[in-house]
Amino acid sequence: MDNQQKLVQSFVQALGVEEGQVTDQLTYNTIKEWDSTAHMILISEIENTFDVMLDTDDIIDMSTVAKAKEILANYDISF
Amino acid sequence: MSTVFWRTIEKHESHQKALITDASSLTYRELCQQVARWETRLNQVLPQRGLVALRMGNTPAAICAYLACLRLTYPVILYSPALSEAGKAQMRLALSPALLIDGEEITVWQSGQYHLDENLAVILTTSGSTGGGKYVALSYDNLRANTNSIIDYLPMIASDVALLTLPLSYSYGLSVLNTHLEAGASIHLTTMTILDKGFWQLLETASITSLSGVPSFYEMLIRLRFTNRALPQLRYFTQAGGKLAGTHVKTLSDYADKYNKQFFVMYGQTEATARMSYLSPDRVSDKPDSIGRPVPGGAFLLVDDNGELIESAGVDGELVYQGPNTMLGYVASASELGTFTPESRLYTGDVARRDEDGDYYISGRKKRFVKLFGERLSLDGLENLFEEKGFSVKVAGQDDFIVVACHPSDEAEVINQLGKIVTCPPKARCVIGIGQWPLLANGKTDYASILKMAAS
Repeated sequence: MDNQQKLVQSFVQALGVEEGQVTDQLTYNTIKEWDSTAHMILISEIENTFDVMLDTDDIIDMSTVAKAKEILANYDISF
Repeated sequence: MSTVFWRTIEKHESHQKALITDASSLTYRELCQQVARWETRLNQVLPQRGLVALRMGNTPAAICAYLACLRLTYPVILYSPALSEAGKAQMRLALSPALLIDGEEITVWQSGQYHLDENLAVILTTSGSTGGGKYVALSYDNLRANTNSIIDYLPMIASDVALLTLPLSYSYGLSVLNTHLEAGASIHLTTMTILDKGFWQLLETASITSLSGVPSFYEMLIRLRFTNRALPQLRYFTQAGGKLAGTHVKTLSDYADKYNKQFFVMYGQTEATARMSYLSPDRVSDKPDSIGRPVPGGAFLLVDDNGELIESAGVDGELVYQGPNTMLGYVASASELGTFTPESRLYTGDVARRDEDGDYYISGRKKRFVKLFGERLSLDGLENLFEEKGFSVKVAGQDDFIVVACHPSDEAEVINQLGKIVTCPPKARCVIGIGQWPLLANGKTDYASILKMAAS
């Protein structure tokens, strides 16, 4: 699985959404599946999948799929 | 009779801030003026004592209306701003309030008078927005007693600024308001959540001296690296509203020790106005699973299935509370508001035990025990066992069947572990993987939904 697929899977697992829904534009709090509780599950899923430890600002800023890629890039994970 | 917050607000330093919102603030003098304005308005539309329904948002207007009701001795139902229209209709039918207050607006619902017990002060609901929960009737003495006990054990001072994120329609949130008003301290009301940057700026810059929250609040704070922040202004923080996992309690206790703060783990119910017990901060790191000892003025008893008193330490029984903060009673209809004959004992529905030192531990909800093929099983206990093994699960059950809901990626391992923990036949247990726990409107786990998911 490449990083793109891994990231999509993290969203699918954590939010319980379909793969097709995980586009770059998918945004926090715009679908009922991605609320604050799910966000925390998503964060642990991403941390486990990519073996990173995100800081407070990263967690708060990770409000879209595109943003998630941008933040993970700071941890040397390329997409 | 000693006075309490709805009267003491006049006596505080008039320039001290009482309420702070993200946009503005109100000094104690301004608060008193606003409360007086509400008293006049209410008196005009309802000259005699009557029941008021108040949409209790976390706003200065709602707080002023609440205080005005207390001062006029008009009993007031504090309902959640999230209450559905159906829930509101149900409340109106059941309790026939004379008035509805929503924001600045007062609507007369009915002018006919009926008798209201002179002690009746506040009615809270045990469910948030869905309606259909129980109505809990509290007296002026209940509010006075619980406010004073809490002030007695929390290190509250007049210069404090409490950050209030809990809903005021919830007894825990309301107790934070009441106690700070009594102490002449400030309450910062915020609409921001932990996932807003502004929330963290507030913590760093707004001189917040205390926090209060339910388990999910602290779980999120920990995940967001709260414990890496020194926050020199923060003096203490409290947790109630359910069990926070022992590991998290330990994390927060270590944080408190490191940065010279105090962490209070507390236990209570709306039926006890709010607070029944707290764990002394110096014992939190040794006893992270304990709810501590009764609040000043209160007492705990443990009774067995036959109603007999349990004297020995380490034996499970239903936790019973006695104290001046136990409610007047439950109400289901307006006809019950006339006279209350309060029970002296509050049966909490929680199963607990006491250790040799006199500290109490909750084993689970009485209703959250099932008899599975003769084996008495605590569903809450099972959740804790999994938690210790590093799995976040929710366990629902009925007398012949249990469901363990876990994260989809943990499913295989949870099935494996469950087989080792319980001895019941495989058909009596089931593991389901779900991305998100179904929640009730009050933020608690919806176990009935989990049972249904497993059945389908």
